[in-house]
Amino acid sequence: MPKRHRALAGSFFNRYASLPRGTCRRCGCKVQAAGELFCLFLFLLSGRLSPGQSNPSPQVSAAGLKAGVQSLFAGDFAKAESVARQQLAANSQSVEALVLLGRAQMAQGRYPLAFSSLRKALDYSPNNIEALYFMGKLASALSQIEYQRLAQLAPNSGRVHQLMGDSYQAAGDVDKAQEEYRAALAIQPDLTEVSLELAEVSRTQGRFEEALKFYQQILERTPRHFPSLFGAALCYRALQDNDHSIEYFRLAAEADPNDAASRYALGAALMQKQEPAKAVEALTAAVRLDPSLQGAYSLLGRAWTMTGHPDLAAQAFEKARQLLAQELQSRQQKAKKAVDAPNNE
Amino acid sequence: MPLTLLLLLALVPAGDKVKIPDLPPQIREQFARGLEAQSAGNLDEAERLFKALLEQGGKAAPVYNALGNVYQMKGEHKQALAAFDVAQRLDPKDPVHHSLAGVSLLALGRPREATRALKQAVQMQPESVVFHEQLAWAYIRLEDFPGAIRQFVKLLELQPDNPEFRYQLGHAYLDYSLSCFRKIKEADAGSARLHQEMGDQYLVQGKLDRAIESYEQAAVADPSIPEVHFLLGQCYLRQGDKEKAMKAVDQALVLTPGSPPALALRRSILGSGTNR
Repeated sequence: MPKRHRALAGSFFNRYASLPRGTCRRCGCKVQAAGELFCLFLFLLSGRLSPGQSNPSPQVSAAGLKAGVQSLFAGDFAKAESVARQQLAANSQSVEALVLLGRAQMAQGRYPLAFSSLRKALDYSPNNIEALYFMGKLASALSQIEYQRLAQLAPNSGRVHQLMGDSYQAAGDVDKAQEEYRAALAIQPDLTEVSLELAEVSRTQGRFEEALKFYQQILERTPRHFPSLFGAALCYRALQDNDHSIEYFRLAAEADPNDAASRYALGAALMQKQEPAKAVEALTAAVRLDPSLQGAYSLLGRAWTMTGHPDLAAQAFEKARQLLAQELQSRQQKAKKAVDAPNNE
Repeated sequence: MPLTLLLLLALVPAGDKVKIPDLPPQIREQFARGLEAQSAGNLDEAERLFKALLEQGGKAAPVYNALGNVYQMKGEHKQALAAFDVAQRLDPKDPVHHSLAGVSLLALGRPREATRALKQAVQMQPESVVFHEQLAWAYIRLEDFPGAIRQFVKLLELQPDNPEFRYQLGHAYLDYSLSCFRKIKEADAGSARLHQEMGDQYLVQGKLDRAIESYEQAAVADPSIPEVHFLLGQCYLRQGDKEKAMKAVDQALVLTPGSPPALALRRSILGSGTNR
């Protein structure tokens, strides 16, 4: 999904477009593909000095680990690795030593080995924050490396244009992002994520007809694609085409049996069409799936009233009132906290 | 998207041609007609022909497989699964039945069972690109990103120049990275490492003030991480605040005496212009 790519916020673009590959200018260590920023992370930013949050084994020496980390900071990665291995000889399950080993391997450009060391650390201690942190960093860097390899392998591929588009999007340059996305689709028309991105951008900018074209492209290939069905329904609603809006909200609800929002929206559209009996069905399903939908209860109350069920309507209105009261209380508490915070300092 | 892709992949025999069962000629002919109807998109007719074939004594694994395939194309995965189960019993050595069952299990929201079935298919035919790809998607569905990474690495061993596999491997690494940071957040939302990562992200985006804010939070949450002080030193220097920069880099040097990058930063601070 495009939003996931945005997590590499500019990194693919920045690193691919402007940073050198090969040897790091800063310290001369091996940087096979990812450039200076990655190296900076490996070389300089490589660790905390005290052992992590899990209790080190008595056989593993805290002083030894500290010496290993110091070696990392001194740029002596081989020594850091050797220290880690010594520690692991005493206790092969030492998470701290495995993390140190992984960091030393990363710093030497031996990424698959580093990946394997950090994986082992996480196998022994899945929630170890240091292991998670360095694995998060390594995996992010490895993703950049793969994307750069892709750019070398197929520079004009749809996927590369897509990645460039994501980078522009993350940097807030919507026009250039759209240019890249369109280029991606021209080369590879079946890139669902790209069509969806263009559809969403068009919809949020109020170009509903254009958005619908992109949604339809996806739906031709994947008729039950929930985001496209829901997005198309929203477009029709904005275009005041209630019949189509109802049709697409219904299809979206069928495509995802656990989605409350599509049922709520369907109920609202049916109420607008003066079809309260059908709205009751949709809204009841919505609040069953998400009992916190205050607006859906309120609408359900109106629908029950219109269908001649005052008792059920009263129950729904009461539920809506309770949820509203809870919401107000929660907002007041938040506001009070915000007001009190500076006074407490 | 993965499910759709899987369904498409499921229609592709795993490097083999569709097996024609060893049946009497008349029945073989009907089987071929069923396959034709299926490939023409006439799924009801294909279903009718395959069912009739089974009633006429053509109870062979490929017929159940073909029928299951038709159900799969119609989105009727429970029936598809039942047909693939029979096909597996009749011909346990054919990995295609396991693979197709895996696809239907995924569609039915049973990713663990799907992964088991697809692993079996991969073990039976380790060189099949389709099976590895299906298994990769099953792992993604389970949010087992290391599992998916292993499969995409294997796929690139099989097809080193395939740009799509390269893209998907990059994507799987990215997903894994994000899942690691999500786990840190779940374990400790105030973790220094989380603040540090936020700072890194802001820095990449060129938002210096927000990066500093995050690094400062990291330094408060855990003052023993030298790189946080180092980064703060760098950021303050970029802001032109030499005094704060020097204080931060000195703190980094207390934690890592003699660190060459920290010493280099210190020299940069000393050599830079006046304080803002």
